Amino acid sequence: MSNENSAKNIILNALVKKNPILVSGMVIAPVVVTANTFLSAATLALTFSVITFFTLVVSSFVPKRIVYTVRIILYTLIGALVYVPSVIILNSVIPGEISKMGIFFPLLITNSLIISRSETIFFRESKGQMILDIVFCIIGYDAAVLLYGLIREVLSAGTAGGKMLGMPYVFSALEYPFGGFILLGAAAALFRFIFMTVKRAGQK
Amino acid sequence: MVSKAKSEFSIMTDMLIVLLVLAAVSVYYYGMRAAIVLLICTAVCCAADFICLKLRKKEFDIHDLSSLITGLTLGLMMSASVPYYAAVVASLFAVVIAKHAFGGHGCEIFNAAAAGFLFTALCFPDNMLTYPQSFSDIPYSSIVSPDILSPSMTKSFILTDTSTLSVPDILAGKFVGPLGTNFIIILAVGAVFLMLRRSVSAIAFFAELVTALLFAFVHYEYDLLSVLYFFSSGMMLFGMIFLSCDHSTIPKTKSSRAVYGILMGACIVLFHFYARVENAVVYAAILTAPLGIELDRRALSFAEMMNKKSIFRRVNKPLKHMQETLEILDKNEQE
Repeated sequence: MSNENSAKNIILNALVKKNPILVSGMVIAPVVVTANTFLSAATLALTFSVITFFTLVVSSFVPKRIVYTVRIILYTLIGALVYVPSVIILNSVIPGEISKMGIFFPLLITNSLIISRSETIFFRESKGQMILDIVFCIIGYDAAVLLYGLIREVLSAGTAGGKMLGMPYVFSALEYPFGGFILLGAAAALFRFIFMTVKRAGQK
Repeated sequence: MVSKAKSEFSIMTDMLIVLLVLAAVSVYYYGMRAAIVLLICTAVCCAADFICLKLRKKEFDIHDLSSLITGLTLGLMMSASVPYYAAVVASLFAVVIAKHAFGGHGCEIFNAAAAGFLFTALCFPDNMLTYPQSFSDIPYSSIVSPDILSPSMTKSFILTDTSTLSVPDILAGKFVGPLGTNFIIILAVGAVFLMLRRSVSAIAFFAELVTALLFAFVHYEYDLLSVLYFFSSGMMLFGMIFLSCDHSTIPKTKSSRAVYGILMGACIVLFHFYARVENAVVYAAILTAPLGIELDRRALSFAEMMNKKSIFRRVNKPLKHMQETLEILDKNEQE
């Protein structure tokens, strides 16, 4: 138990072994729909980080004695409360970008990461371990989203962060949600393949 | 198991014969560039299939002609002037993403050729949906000058609901369009051949044809010429044979096939008359194909439910299609 909850193990789990997007497949709808450029991916990463971090930290104070159904409702209410100041702060930091995310921004308050982490992991961890887990889980998510947004922009528009790269061919179909879904699936498969190969090499 | 493999091989051989006839006619109409496009699609599909099988540690089966059929189908849906890289991308997408990512031959939920074509048409719409005239000199370079290209007959027909083409030209396929999807007479003969050989489901084909035909008659106020234009445009007949009646994705029971055909026909009508998209049959094939599995499941649960009813046991007259559904399920379980 102590080995499972060691700092190294928590960081490795959050970043690689149980990466929220590439391994667990959580909160992928906003990624597929909105993260089609590096800038939109950065906006998504920032909004996700702010909402998820504060919602999870506040949710950890919800007493465990409360029945499961009520706890879930409380998590959503906390998410909704965190959402209001988040909108004000983020609109001043990245004006105009939040509205481009449409319905996917308010939907982040009910993201599956909040429920899954608070219900399955945080019950077994101390407050310090929990904070470490949240931070690295968010970093794992953000890193995957940013890399995905960059690759998608390069392949679909031939630009990186808005700068032309002079690509010979671009695949504009990847801009659409169906193309984004295929690219995410391919990225997840490649990530798992690399992870398994490294793991097997380490075992040998 | 042996008989199943033989039967599948026989289906694929029949389809290959019709596709090869269409390929030969398209080379006659569009010259050597058509042959190059067809060769690229076929070679890339076969090579990608072989590599994917090796990567997945599966054995290569010489009797599996599916990649050859996908390559030829895809090639015949292309413009004769399509850039070679677009043909390569379409073939790779069809085999790697639409076929092997879902578990390989027999496990596809979309027709691989339709998925490959649609992906490339969305990526390179200017190159994929402009066509040269038949019997014209098409340069062998990868990029063909847009001066000799024009939108397809389908595009102008969708916009105006009419065409100036004569009936003999329509029947002979002498109009601007993809490589091998315009030859109505050859396709009609091919459809009859495939249905007589039981390589294509006649139930699904006719259900689809009649649904689309009925709507077209009403829409064009019983004008036969307009209905003929409708069926010769947008790869309609070609798609009905090779995309929607693909034996990998089509449901397994007769009742499901009839429903599938009607759904497919309805989707064609929606995409052609309301969404006004070129090549409505490709979109319809992509949208309807995943329903095939669900239709089989529904037919099975319906059959089981009816069999449980005492009246059916007492009179001992189970409906024919219910028996058939259960037999297929048993066969699949044994395999």
